[in-house]
Amino acid sequence: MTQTLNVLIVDDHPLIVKAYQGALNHFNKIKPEYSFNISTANDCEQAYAKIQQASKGEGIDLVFLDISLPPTNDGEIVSGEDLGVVMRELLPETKIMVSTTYTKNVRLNSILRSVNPDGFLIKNDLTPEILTEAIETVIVDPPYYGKAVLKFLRKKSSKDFVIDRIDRRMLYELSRGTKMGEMPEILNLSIAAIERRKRILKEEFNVDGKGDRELLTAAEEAGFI
Amino acid sequence: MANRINSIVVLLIILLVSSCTSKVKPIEGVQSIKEMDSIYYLIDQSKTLQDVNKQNEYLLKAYHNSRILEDDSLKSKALSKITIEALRIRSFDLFKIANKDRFQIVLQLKDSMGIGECYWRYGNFYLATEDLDSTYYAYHEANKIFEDIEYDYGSGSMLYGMAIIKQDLRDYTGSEILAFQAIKKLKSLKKNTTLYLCYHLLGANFYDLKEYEKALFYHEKAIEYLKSLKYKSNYKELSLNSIGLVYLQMKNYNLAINSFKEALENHDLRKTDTRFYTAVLDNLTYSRFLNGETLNIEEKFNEALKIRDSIHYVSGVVISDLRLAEYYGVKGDTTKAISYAKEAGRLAKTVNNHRDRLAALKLLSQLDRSHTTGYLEAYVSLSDSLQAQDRAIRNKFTRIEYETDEYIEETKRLTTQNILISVIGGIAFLVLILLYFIRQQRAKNKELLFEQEQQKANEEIFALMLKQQAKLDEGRTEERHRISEELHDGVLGKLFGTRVGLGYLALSGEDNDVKDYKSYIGELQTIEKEIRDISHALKDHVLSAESGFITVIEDYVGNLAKIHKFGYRIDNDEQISWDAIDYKLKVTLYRIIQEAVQNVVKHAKANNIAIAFSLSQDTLQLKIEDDGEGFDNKKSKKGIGIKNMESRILKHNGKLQVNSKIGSGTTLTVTVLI
Repeated sequence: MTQTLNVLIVDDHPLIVKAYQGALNHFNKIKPEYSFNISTANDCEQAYAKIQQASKGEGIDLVFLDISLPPTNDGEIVSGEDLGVVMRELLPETKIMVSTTYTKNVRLNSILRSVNPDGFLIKNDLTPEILTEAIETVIVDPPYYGKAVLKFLRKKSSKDFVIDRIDRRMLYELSRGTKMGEMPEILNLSIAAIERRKRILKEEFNVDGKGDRELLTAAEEAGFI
Repeated sequence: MANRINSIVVLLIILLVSSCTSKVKPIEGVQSIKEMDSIYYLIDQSKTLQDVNKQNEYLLKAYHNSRILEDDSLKSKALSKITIEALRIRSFDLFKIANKDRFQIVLQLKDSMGIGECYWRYGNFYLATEDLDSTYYAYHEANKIFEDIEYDYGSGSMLYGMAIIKQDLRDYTGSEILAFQAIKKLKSLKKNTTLYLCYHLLGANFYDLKEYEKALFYHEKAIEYLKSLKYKSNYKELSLNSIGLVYLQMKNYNLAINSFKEALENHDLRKTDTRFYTAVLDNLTYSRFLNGETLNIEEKFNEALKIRDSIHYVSGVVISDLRLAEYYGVKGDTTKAISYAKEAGRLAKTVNNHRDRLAALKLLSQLDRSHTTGYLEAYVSLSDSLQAQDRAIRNKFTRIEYETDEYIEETKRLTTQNILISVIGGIAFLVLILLYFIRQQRAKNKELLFEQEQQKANEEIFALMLKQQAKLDEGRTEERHRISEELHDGVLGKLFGTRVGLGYLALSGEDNDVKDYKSYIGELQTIEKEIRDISHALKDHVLSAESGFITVIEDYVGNLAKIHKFGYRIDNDEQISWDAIDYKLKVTLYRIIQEAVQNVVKHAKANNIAIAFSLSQDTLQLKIEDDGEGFDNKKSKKGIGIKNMESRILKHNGKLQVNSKIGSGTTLTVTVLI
C-alpha cells in the first residue's frame, strides 16, 4: 500500500532543494511504498505561509528545514530555528528534519532545545547514503542524529555539573567578545557578581587562575557554548 | 718754660721705653739671631756706659750692624731700640737716620703699630729740638694711626703730648680738652703714670689761667694717682712744687712755704734732679721773702744761683737773677737790682726764654725810672711779636686739626656713602635674584603647564588611536564575518546542494568512471569542510582581535624603531584581556612605555628594546629592557622622566622599579594590580 507523504523543503539554495528532491525520488525508487507530495520554500516568508496553509489543510508529514534563511518581511521569524518553533506549535505531528551547516555547539544545543528535531543533520557530513538512511529513519522510527550531533550530545551528558541559564548566557557573550563593561546591562548583574560567576566557572572547568580565553576554550569544548 | 719741656721729654721717653719693652716678641728666624744678638748686646752695653760719646759710638755700631739685616719686623725692632737710646742720649743725627730707616720698613710691612711708633718718636725728637709745630704734627699723625688700630695707650699718650704743646703756646682751653681726651683713653687702662701727668698738666693749665682753686683740685687728684705708682720718680716733689707755686700766687705764703719744704724733705732730690732742686729751693726762698722774712734770704737766693751757674742751667740763672733783682729792688739797692735784671734779660735772650725776658723788661721798667718808657715799649713790642708767633703756630695747629677733621669728615662721608652704596647694591642684587627666581619659576610653571597640556593632548591622541584601532578592528571583524557568512551560507550551501544533487544522479558508465565520480564527490565534501573551517576560523578570530592596545604600542615603538634604528620585541600575555582593563591604566602604561622608549633613544644608545607584559593572579607586570649604556642607579638622582613615570603609576597604586648598571643596560619594571 502506497503512502503519500506531504513534504516541505525549506532552503534558500535552489540547488539544495533540488538535491533533497533528488534524494526523495531516489528513496521512492528504492522504497516504492512511499510516495511524496513535495512543496518548497526559499525563505521564511514563503515557508511560514505554507505552514499556515498546511495547518488549516491536510498538514505536513515531513519538513526539511535549513537554519540560515532570509527572514520574514515583518522580521518576526529570522531563522529556520524560529520556523521550527512555530511549526511545533502549529503542526505538532510534523516530523522535522533539521539540516544545517552550523557546527557550533551553542547552535546545536539551542536547536535541540527549542525545536527538538526528529532528524538533525550537519550538511557537511551528509552523503546521499546518509541522507537516504536519515529519511527512512525519520519516517519510520525517529530520531536520526548526524554523527556531529551525537558527539556533541555525548560530551554534554558527560559533564555532571550544572550551569544555569545566566552562566550560559555569560559564556556566550564572552565568546562573542562582549566587553565586561557591557555585561552588567545584558545580564542584569553587578560587575562583581559577574566576576564571581566567572571565577566559579573557572574552578569548575579547572582553569582557575587563568584568563577568560582558557575558560571559553574549556566551555566550548564541553559543549556549553 | 724750656726746662719744663725738657723734663717732659724725658718722661715721655721713659713711657715709651716701658711701652716697648712690654711688647717684646719672640725672635723669628734663625739666621739673623747672631746679628740680632750682637745688636742687642751693643745697645745694652751702651746703657751701662757713662760717657755720652762712647754710648753714641756703641749705638752707631749697632746701627751699622743692623744695616745688613733684611727689611723685616726684626730689623724694625732693632732700629726701634736704637732710636729710643739715641733719643735718650740726644744723639739726634743717629736718631734721624735710624728712625727714617725704620719708617720705610714699617711702611713696606704695612705695620700700623710701627708707623705710629715712628711718628711718636719723631714727635719726641722734634719736642727735644723744640720744633713745636713739627712735634704737634707728628703726635697728631701717630694719634690718627693709634685711633685706627684702637691702641688706646698710644692714643692717650699722643693726646697728652699735644696737650703739653698747646699749653706751652698758651692755648689753655685746647690743652685742657686734649688732656681730658687723653684721660678718657687711659682711665680704663689704669695707666696711672700718664694719668698722673695728665692731671698735673691740668693743674698747671689752671695755674696759668689763674684759676688757683681748680689748679689745686687737679694737683691733689694727680697726687692720688701717685699713690698707686711703683716708680714714683720725683713726681711727688713735682706736685708739691706746683702746689707751692699755686699758693704763692694765692699769696698764701705759709702754705706755699710748707709745700716747698715738704718737697725738699727728699734729700736725694739735689742728686737726682739738681735743676729741679734749685727751682724748689729758689721758690722756697722767694716765698719766704714775699712772706716778709729777712733771715738768710739773700744767701739762699745766691746759693740757688751758684748751683745753677755751676751746672750751666741758664734758664735757672735767669730766674735767680730776676728774683735777686726783685729782692734788691725791695731793699732799695736799685743799681744792683737793675744790673741783675739786665743780666737776666740778656741771658733770657740767649736761650730764647721770652717769658723771662718779658719779666726782666717789666722789672727794669719799674726799677730804672729814667728809662721806663723805653723798657715798656720793648716789652710791648716783644709781647706783641710773641703773641703773633704764638698765634701763627696755633693757626698751624688748627690747620693740622682742620685737615684731620676734614679727613675724618670725608672718611665718614665716604663710609656712609659706601654703606649706602653697599646697601643699595645689596638690595638691588637681592631684587635681581628674586626677579631671576620668579622668572625661572614662571618658566618652570609654563613648562609644567605645557607638559601637562602636551600630556593631555597625548592622552587624547592615544584615546583617539585606541578608538581608531577599535574601529579598524571592528571593520575588519565585520568584514571577516561577512566573508565567513558568505562562505558558510552561500558558497558552502551551493556546494553542498551540488554535491548531494550529483550524488543522486544514477550514472551509468564504466566502473572506473563511476568510481572516479564517487571519489570526486568525496573530494567536494573535503572542499566543503575546508571552506567551513576557513569560515569558522574567520569568525573565531573574535577572541584574539581584542588586542588593540598592543597594536597601538607596536605602532608607536615600530615607528621609533624605524627612525632610530633599533630592534624591538613586544611580548603580550594572551591571558590579559586588554578590553577589560581600565582605559586610564592603559593610557598610563602607554605613557610609561613612551617615556621609557624615549629615554632609551635619547640616553641609552641601545640596540634592542624588549617590552613584555605578563599577568600572574591579578598583578599585571610590564617590563621594559634595553641593552644600552645604563647608568649608576645609586649615584644619579632620579630624573624628571622617572619621577613622572613613578607618579603616574602611583595613581593606580602600582610600583615602578628601575635597575641599571653602567654597561649592562636598564630594566624598568612596572607592577600594578588589576
